[in-house]
Amino acid sequence: MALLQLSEPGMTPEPHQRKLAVGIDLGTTHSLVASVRSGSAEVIADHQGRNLLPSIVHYSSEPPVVGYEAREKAVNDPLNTIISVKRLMGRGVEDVATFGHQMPYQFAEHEGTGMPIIETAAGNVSPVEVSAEILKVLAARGREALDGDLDGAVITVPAYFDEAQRQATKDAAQVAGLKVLRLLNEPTAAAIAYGLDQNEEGVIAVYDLGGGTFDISILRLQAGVFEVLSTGGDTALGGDDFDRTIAEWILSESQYEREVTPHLGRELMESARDIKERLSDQESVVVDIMHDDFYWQGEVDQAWFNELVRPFVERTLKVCKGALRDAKMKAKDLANVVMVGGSTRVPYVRELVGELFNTEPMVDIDPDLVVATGAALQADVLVGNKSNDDMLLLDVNPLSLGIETMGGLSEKIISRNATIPVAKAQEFTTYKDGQTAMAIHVVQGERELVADCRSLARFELRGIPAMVAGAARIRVTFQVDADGLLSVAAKEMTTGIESSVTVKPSYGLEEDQVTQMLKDSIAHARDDVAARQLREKQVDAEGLLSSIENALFEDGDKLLSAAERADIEVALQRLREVAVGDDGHAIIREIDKAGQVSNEFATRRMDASIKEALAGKALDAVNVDKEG
Amino acid sequence: MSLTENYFQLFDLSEQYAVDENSLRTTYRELQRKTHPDKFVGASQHEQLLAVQYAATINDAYDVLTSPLKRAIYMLSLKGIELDAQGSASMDPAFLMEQMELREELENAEHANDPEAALEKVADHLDAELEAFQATFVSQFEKGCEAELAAAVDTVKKMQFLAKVRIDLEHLEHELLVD
Repeated sequence: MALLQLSEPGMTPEPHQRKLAVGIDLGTTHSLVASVRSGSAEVIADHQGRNLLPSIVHYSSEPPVVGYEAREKAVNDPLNTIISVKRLMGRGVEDVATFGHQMPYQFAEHEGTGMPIIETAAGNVSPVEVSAEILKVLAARGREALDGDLDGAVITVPAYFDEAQRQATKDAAQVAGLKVLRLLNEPTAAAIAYGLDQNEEGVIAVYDLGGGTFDISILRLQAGVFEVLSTGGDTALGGDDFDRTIAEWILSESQYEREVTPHLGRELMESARDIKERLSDQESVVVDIMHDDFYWQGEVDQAWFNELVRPFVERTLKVCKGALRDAKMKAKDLANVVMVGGSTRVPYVRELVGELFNTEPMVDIDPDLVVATGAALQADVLVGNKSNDDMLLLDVNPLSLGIETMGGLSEKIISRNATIPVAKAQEFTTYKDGQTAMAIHVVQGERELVADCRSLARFELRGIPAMVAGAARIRVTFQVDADGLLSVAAKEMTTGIESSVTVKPSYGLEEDQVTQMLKDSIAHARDDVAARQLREKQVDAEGLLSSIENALFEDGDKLLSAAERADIEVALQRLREVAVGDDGHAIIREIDKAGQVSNEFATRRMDASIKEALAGKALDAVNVDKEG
Repeated sequence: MSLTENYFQLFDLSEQYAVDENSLRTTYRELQRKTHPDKFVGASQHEQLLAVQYAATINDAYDVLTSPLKRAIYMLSLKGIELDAQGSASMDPAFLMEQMELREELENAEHANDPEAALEKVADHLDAELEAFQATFVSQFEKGCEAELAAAVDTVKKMQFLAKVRIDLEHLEHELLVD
């Protein structure tokens, strides 16, 4: 057996390499990737110098095509060209049915998941897989620009995304082979980019109107802390709706009486988008649309456009008022309103938002780029390139989480706008003698009736010890992590027995389905599955090694006895040895062991850091006294 | 210092009802800076779970310590008095009368010419009452004998009543906003 190499106590671990991380804005109409290079965050452009990637995927017998190239196919091959797939993420088949002609695709139900799948020339694809295609292109862009494999990505989601929509986004990243460092809320990402750029302090509002989603977040910025006070939104409201309203208006004006084909529908939507964009800087425009036997010509102006989109903008303003109220703020308390998302280019949107908040909205930063830029800044910190001592994000849970109680009512367990991570426990009991299992239905939303809330998942608790009815006390803990994702744990309190929890998401994939999609996707790319999985394990091992080595360097002498330290060093050495080999199982085994042997150390470190935080505060107080 | 200690100790405060919000916020941020999961992205799974657990506990503590009602309930629980186990409240008739008047005020406000302003007035009224009950709670709690603690429980129950009206009022405001 080889001798174990132990590093000298207190010796600096190897200076760690700069990690490669990106921020990704996965938008309804456009997506972007950005990264921090030589100190500043920049959007990574494609070979033609274009920052934006249209979120469009075209399927055929050839490998899928993404972006501008796919957009060109949209008019001629609308059924195989998937546009605005973000609107389908985390949605059920019955939701999709309500979209009607907005989505011309042929939908079927993904067996057993409640998820819609789209029938294309390349076979059936799920929204998760379509999004994964977009992510793959962005990841490749990142790899090429940074010249190496990515260590991780921060992916942004609308703040008002519910649990199922968030989970679907994370699944898509996994299918694309990306390690998700964090799901970050879009307005929060914008606030980071804006706050760090302007060095602003005070309370700000971020008004984010994209292609298909609307968010408003109220944040307090102070000394590098980004504290979200409240958030609100509508995940089915955006610039797409402006386009559709224009298209519908033109259609009715044209008095066209034949059935609108998907091709014509796409053509009208493209024209509508063009009209909207031109009216952003022209008072009026002349329109001339010809498609097969369809013809319409006319002149439209800003006043006409404003009237058409006013209902949508007013809807956003109501949500803004609600968010202000939730934050216990008045418009006059705000230092600034930051405008984010392509749809805030519309002058009328700026005008009405300015009126509501009684201030000139801030449009200095490109509204298309700011979210990806903020995500890149956060990714750089999370991956460890930049110390996070000076930046702290405190985000919130956007929608209340509750459980179904008798009579179809929702009992709220975790309230909306609660700072995450958050954990709340609730006790339940059995109603029958000898009952050993129980079912819990988790819902999300503010309404009282379960039927008006969104069904998230059904949990089954098993392994409850048999007792007389009402004697068991099952404590169910709901936890929302920093990605805004929910997990559930259950424990019988009189016996201390942990019940097992099986999650059946209402709309979404189970773990093994995601793994299967990943395998299919890699097989498609003719990549070596085994090699890629091994590489991922090695990366995990390296990450853990550097994290524990660093912990030992900082606190090993203070918090560990010589024997405890030796145990950890031995485990690290074993991990180091297998990490360079090709035995994936051995790597997982040694990762587990190294984790276990350092668990107690981790807890001591956490307690010590809390003590340190309080001591630091006391010190500050003393300093203030001295100055005073 | 660890999570098994009570929320006041976690925030390095003495166990008294009056808290300084600014200093609470400073402590809260310092604690989050040390424990937030964003600091542990590359760490072992155990450490990541630990961070979520610590940060969640600190969030809950901050929520309890900054809320006048939750703080009062929490202080009673530290004395071994669980409010839920105390049976239904024995409200004095005068208080119940006032409650009915408040509810009536709320209904009238809803149909007033300027419902938003009218609701604001009811809210001010509610907040003033809540504040008065807080003072009562403190004096009862500080005396600490069994009879006074029982009275403190009643006071907190009244506060709960008012808080419920406050929530209904906010619902109304919200509806006015949306429609």
